[in-house]
Amino acid sequence: MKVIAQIIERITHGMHLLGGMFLITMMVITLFDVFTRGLFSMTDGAVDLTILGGIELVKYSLLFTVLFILPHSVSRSQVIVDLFTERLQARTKKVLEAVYILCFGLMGIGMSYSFYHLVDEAAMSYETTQDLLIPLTYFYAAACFATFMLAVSAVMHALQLLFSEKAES
Amino acid sequence: MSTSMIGVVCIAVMLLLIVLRAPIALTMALAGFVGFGWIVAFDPAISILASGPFETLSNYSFSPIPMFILMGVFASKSGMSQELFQGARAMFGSWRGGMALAAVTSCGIFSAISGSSMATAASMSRVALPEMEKNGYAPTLATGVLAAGGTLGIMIPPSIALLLYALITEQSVGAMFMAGVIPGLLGLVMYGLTVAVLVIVFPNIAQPGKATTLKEKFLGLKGLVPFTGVFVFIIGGIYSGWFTPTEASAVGAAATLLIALVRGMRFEQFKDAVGETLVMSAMIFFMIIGAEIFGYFLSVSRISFSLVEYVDSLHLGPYMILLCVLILFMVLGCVMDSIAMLLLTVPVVYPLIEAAGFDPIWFGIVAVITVELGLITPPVGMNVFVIKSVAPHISIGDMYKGVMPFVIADLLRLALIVAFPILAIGLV
Repeated sequence: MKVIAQIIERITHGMHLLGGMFLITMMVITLFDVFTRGLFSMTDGAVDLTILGGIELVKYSLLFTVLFILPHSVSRSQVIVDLFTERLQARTKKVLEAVYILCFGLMGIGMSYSFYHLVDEAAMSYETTQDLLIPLTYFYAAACFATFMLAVSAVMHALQLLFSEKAES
Repeated sequence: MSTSMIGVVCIAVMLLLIVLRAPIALTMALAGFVGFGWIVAFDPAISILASGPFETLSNYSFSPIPMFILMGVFASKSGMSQELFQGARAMFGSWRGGMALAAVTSCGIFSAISGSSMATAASMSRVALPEMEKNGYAPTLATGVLAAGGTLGIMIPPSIALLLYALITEQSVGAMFMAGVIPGLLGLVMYGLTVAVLVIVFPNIAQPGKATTLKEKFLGLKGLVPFTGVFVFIIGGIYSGWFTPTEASAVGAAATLLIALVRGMRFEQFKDAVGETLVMSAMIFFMIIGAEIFGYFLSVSRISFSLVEYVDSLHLGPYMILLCVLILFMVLGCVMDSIAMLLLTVPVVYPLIEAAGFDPIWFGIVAVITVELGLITPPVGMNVFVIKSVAPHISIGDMYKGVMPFVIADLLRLALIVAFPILAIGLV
């Protein structure tokens, strides 16, 4: 299980890094968009370096940023209220955490399954993005993979919480 | 069972799960999924698990959230907050309580480029707390002023809380940010006055620092330059039409990165800043996804409408309704995170407030101030916890004792804004 956990951790960490790159991409695209638009208006249209679909690129960069960071963050970035359960035993808290993380896993499976169907539907209807006309199948497929990894990462983390000696200690 | 009753049951289960330490994002998603499935059917409920998050995450309006966080983290990692505090310290440090005043002023200025309260509190407490302790400030005052000062991050634009409120209630983000300016500055002034009153009544809690010359004061202003520069650049850019408020977040993040690079930020620090931003963004977006699924359920359960009808039948006056909503916010604020609370409660209570005839922008400010109180009130004050992580040797009890005068100042500010709505909507 340790080896599998390490492989999953590496994949989700890689996705996390990719998410970071998309975050910086969002910033760069917006800057480029603002700069070229400014240049266009300052030169009364003589210098036109504006690109079509800047907003769309930012939109989908945000989508990929968030989808790709979810698997790595599922056990790390949660807000909980521990006021009422402070006095519970550590083991009980761990079991509760495992159950909740497992629920995230189920949610990930549901999302992935639903995205899988959207891939098919988008392929049949030739659905594309509005400006750049990129087929939405690619986006749904990436989302399907990311949410599947969310499920895998959540299940693995829940199992580790329940059965690993390290987690126990 | 009626749809409204199903709504009540699901919300009750959701609250029970929150009490049983379930992640708030999960409770919203679960209640939303099960409630929607129960009322409509489970096949469409599975569909909204994909379509809801896809629509939200590819919504351009949400793109400023990670950018506002990135902007604050860049400023923090590049040591800008340190220089800012030293500048404010040179200005006020020689007065009794001057360092506390410098801390709260620095928090206010840092808020102008940070959208998050916790980022503001974390960043400024790392810099200001050791200095105040070294100079004989009582731990209660030192931690109280920083926890309270951090809350300015949620009000002074850019603010993630104001942005989310605007998106939930379909208000203009620009108008919401403008509405936050005066209440934010009012908060800064009131916290300053609170420090002044405290050191007059209890002179032993703060010692006057070393006197600074006029030249030192003037040189201290250097720390203000990057913050003022970025802030003026953002606001000026929006007003001159160079970029939209949404684009301003990315431009601001890039400008802060540029300043950080000029100040010698290395690739490792850059990587850390991006990593920290991703962790904080994931926390917020998990809750946004949960809230989106919960939102579908709220619409089909029509629970907000039932609530409006019920309150109508009670014949309560508008201010009584407002009081009930604010009490609800204060109670929830004691146990819940501010962003989670906004995402969870605003969709439910907003129709009620709208029906009572209140200005939505004004209510946004009132709601955010009330939510802000939750950041420093016991037992779950997130800003207090942030400061505890920086100063583990100071007891939580002392910290809560320290924030109490600032809670009173916040309540006064809330009363002022309720009594004089012009303070919130005057600039809109």
